[in-house]
Amino acid sequence: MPNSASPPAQSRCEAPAAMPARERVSLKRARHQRAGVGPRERVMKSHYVRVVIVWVIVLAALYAFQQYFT
Amino acid sequence: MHWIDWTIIAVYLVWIVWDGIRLTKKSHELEGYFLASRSLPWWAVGLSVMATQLSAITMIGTTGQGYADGMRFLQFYYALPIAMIVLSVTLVPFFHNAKVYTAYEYLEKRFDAKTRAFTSLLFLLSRSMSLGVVISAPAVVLSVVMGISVTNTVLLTALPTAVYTMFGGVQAVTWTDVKQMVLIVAGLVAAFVVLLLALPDQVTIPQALRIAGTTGRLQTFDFRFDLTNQYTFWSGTIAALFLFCSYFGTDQSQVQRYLTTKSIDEARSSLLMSAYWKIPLQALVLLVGVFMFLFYLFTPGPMLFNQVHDRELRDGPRAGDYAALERRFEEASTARRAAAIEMAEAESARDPSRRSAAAGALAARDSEVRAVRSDALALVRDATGDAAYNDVNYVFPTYVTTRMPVGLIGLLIAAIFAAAMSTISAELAALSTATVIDFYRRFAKPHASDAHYLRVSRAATGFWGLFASAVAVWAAELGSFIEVVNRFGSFFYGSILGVFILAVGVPRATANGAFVGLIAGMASVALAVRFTNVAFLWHNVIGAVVVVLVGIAISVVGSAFRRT
Repeated sequence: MPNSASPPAQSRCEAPAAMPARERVSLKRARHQRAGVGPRERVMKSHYVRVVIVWVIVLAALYAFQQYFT
Repeated sequence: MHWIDWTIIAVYLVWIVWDGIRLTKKSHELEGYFLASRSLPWWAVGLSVMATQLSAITMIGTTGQGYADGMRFLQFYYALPIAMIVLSVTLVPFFHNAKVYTAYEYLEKRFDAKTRAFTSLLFLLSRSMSLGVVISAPAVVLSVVMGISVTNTVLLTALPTAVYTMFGGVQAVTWTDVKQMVLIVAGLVAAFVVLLLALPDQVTIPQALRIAGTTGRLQTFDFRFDLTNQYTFWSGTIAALFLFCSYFGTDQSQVQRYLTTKSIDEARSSLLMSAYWKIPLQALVLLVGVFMFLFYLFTPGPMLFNQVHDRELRDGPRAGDYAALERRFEEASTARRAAAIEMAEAESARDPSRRSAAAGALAARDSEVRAVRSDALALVRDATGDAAYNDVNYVFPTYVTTRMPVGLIGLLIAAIFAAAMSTISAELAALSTATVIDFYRRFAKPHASDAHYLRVSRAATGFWGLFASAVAVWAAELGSFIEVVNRFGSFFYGSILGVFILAVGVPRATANGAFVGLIAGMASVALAVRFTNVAFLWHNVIGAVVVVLVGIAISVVGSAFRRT
């Protein structure tokens, strides 16, 4: 028996290019909400990625600083 | 000190107390007093978290470590950004959704009252003792500057802080922290600029850095895997990760900060501010220490920076030994200065062979100076009976009071006050919260009015202020402040983190499993301290791992036993 809560197949695919931008965004939002990922969660995830990137850059800069002056 | 400097310090002290007390009107109910009614913006909380961590110990002890050992200590903070991400994903949502006042309150919701009470008691014990150490750092500075007893300077630091924390609650703590953070960074930047300007005309900044690098003071990575070494890349990224997760995730003085934000995401953002800025800020603090080393490399400085011990030895029965050491120190310092200038000239001449020879000579002369200072420290310890004496804590205060221009001395002393007060106020608020919420309201008087709890909370803040001041007088005579604080914390931190890992990450963990695991974790750390030379940072790993393993084992065995 198919799961009645599962999304229709069409909404899992990429939105047609001809579809207006607002509707494409709303389809994407619905997909994220079904997966339990809200817009703020996605923002925080990109925030974490930024922290890791900055962290790696800072450590690399400190290593280069040490190697250059020692 | 000049009257202008005294005026700056006095204006700062009066202003900060007034600024804190005026927020009393926003603290008329318990949630407003302890959690600012969960209404503060993330950036203010983020600055408050950073100000709480950047204590006077950092300004005095860490700059001293930069002077003596260079930037090795920076490795201690490498795991901090990762710890912030881990906490943002795991503990922060749990605390916010549980609507708790203290981190330990959550443990009762998840386990039982005894686990909550025990962890809260451990927090009260460790934090009240370490708060004493935090207060003693600026007290030592002021006793050197003003020539009055440490007891008086302890009261001068702790009393105004206790007053504005008592009345203004966490609102006062947070908003004064924001202003204090600005003052601290301004003071550090001012000290750094003055030190840059003090370099000799013939030495450029890159040349000065290369001289510091030759003496090993710009080493920011040590990849040796040595469990007995405090500051290596591995202890900084693995062991310190456990310490930071525990400190920011389970220590009430930090958890209380981000419980004051409006939402989970604001709490996360406040923590991630430290993830971005802590390592660069700490690098600045250590560079101030490195440039103090460069200053005293080119300018004759004292062999001992503690003037009290210096006078005692000159006038005491070991005066002959001390004078001989001073002669050795002068000769070694003069030779080191000549080697440094030779190196700068070799750099200018772009002659690799001359530069290589000069670098070898400089490193050898620096070793001689270190050896003489080491002998001088041994003499102080032997002559005064102060076995834990460490001169590094006196380097920055001595530099500030004897070499900085008028006006900046007052600014720097006010910044040291600010650094101390920002930490003291946050910890007083946390101690008061744990005392009232986890013990008084939970066990002594569960159904009293909000006004009653507010009165008790203010009294508890005052009590902890007095208790920590008493500890501070004793702690002032201990060695390097920052290591004392971290060593003390490491005894409990890992084990408490283990309990929270069980609570959040192991659904099958039971209350008995968590409690027995906590006892086993602390016992394992005690055994590690007693029978091994493992560096204190690794005690956090030992404690957390033992708690989780024992906790899971007891929980599984207990469940199986109940089923049969």
